[in-house]
Amino acid sequence: MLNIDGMKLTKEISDFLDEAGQVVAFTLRFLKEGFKPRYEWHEFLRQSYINGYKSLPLVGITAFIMGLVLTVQSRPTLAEFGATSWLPAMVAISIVREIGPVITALICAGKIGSSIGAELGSMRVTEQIDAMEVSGTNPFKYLVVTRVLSISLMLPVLVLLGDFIAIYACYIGVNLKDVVSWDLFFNKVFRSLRFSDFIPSIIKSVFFGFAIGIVGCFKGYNSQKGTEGVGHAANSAVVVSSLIVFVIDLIAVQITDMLGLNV
Amino acid sequence: MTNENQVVLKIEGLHKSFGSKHILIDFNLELKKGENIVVIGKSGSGKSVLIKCVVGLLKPDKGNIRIFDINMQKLNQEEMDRLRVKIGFLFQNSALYDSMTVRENLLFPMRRHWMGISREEEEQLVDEALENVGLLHTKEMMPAELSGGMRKRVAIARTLIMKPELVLYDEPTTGLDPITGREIVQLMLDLQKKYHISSIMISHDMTVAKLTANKIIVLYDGTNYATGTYEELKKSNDKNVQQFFEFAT
Repeated sequence: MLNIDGMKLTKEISDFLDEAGQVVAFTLRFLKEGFKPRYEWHEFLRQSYINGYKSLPLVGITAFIMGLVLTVQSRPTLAEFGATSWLPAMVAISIVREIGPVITALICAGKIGSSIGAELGSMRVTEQIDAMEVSGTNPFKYLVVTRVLSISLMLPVLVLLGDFIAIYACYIGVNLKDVVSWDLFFNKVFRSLRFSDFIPSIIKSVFFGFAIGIVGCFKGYNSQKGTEGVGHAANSAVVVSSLIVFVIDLIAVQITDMLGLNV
Repeated sequence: MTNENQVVLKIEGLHKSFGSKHILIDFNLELKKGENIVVIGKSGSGKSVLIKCVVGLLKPDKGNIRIFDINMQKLNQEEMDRLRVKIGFLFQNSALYDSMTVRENLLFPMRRHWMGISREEEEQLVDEALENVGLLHTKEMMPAELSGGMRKRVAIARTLIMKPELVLYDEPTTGLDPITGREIVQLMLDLQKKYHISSIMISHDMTVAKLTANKIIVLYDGTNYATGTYEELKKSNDKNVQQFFEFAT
């Protein structure tokens, strides 16, 4: 029994390493093909519209709720210390440095990652990707490069917009119990935030977007086993990319800490 | 200049296995210009694997595939893509791009290979291709709005718009009612004659083979079990060959 379990474990480890190797090869192929002409501008713009503009309502609503809830929840604790005047600064720093990028990335992993996994997966099982290949066009360039690039560029934009919406929601949250003018609130927020708070947040958002795009495309592009495979591709695209978002965040925090940017 | 004896496709000693399952064993074939060969065999006999090896979607384990006297196995990706422009492939389930209109489906390969042509010329070619299959009115429709037979016709138009010299048809009548199936076969024959195309057609239906083939190859146990014209094979006493004639009309 132990022997069988041992064999199963060995197989699972070998499968995991095998897939990790394939993801690395897929990423290297992206880097190789991504910068070579022909450039699929039209598809890139279409994907940017779908991944960016169409995700904005969801990101905006979530950011608004996040900013409001964080303000309302944090207020009693700060009130105990008589430090409610720090509320705008505290919420703004948490949102810009951490919560904004991570929550936006997780929403996009769910919305965009699953849709890419399902779309490319169904294109694979209905032989549409094969049809592109046999017509002598490059499906990797058309389907993968455009999607990964568009998410990598759109996610930081969504994060920034989400940050501002969450900060505005914080302003509303503060005014539920106190009366604070927009000028004073704005002043308090931007006195506490530095430009160096935005830079790591934007850089890690690019990596979050890249990871979501690569994982979604990899899972969909290599989907097998018919409709079951499409479901599996969509599901595992969300699970794996969400996990990678946290791993990247952990690494990013360590780096910003080493660089002394977390003070 | 057309040379009737020019060999378009030559397959020698082709082997393909998936794990321990041998699909093709020492398969050989020679297709001349203007010729139409039908490869017939039961489901799972490796017919689709054969044409996927020809077009480079699957890599053979052993053997040679020469198209227009070019060894497929020695080509890099860019050379392969250039050669693929001369090869058309009609998929069993049409494989139209779901997110594009019929017009965009037809333009997709054209815009990536014929970059010098103007928008007007592009539109003319799309119109001509759709007129050939009698579906000009579907130009702005999405594939989901078309019936099975219409999707097949659009797929034929998309296959032929690049003016290929060799076309590979993977079970072109599967999933269609007999009347539509017959119409599709007739359409393929008409267009082949019009554009002087050589073709390999995969089928399990001897009626289709009778209508279209200059030569029929019976694929059995991974080998070319029997080769001949429809009449020659019909006279065969071999039960593995005769089983295909049982339901032929």
